[in-house]
Amino acid sequence: MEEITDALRSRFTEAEIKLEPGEDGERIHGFLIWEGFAPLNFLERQHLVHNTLRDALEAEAEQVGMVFTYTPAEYDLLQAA
Amino acid sequence: MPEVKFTRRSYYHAAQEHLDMAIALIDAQQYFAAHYFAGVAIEAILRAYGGREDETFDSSHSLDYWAGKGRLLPKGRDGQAAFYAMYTEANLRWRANQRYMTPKMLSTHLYSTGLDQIRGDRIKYSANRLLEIAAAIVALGVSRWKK
Repeated sequence: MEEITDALRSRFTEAEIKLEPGEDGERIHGFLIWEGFAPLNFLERQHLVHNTLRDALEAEAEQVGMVFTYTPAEYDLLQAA
Repeated sequence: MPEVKFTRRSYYHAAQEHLDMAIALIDAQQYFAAHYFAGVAIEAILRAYGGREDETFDSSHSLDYWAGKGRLLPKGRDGQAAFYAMYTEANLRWRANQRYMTPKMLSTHLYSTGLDQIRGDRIKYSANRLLEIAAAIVALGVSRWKK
């Protein structure tokens, strides 16, 4: 999981990364909170995350499942919900 | 052969996996399948919050049924209104029996909802919209999971 966090941190500087380990063969998942997501739509954000992980980890990127992408303001709203 | 057991936790993971599949299907321009999987992701996260661990598999696929059983509802009037708006839209767009529909039948269903005043590919438009709704509802379920 450290490699995954490092890969995300190198691309998404100052991001807050909240990943949960996969249990019983399930994949790692979590939230990536980054101000730079603001101008991007949902799919653009997902492509950015997928491409970052694939470039850094190659086949090991398959260990990562859904990473939800939020700006800090959006994430605050989600947490308040 | 070991028996597959459906648990709240398995639905929680399935919701995220199906959402991820819906993204991959949109990228592959497989909009009909993406539309179906985005809806299944919503059903799965509602099941994660609506089921009990000791229950046998409940074969209902109605989003209304699972939303009614579930405890996945934001706090506050504004949050709840936004959730119901998303949920209502998803419930109009998605039908569990889509898996038996042809693309033409799904397009006719989407036209009948009156949701989208568009020309062109109704399924492509609806798949993208349903994906965004599914992402928001599943994210709410994931963020709440350990609270």
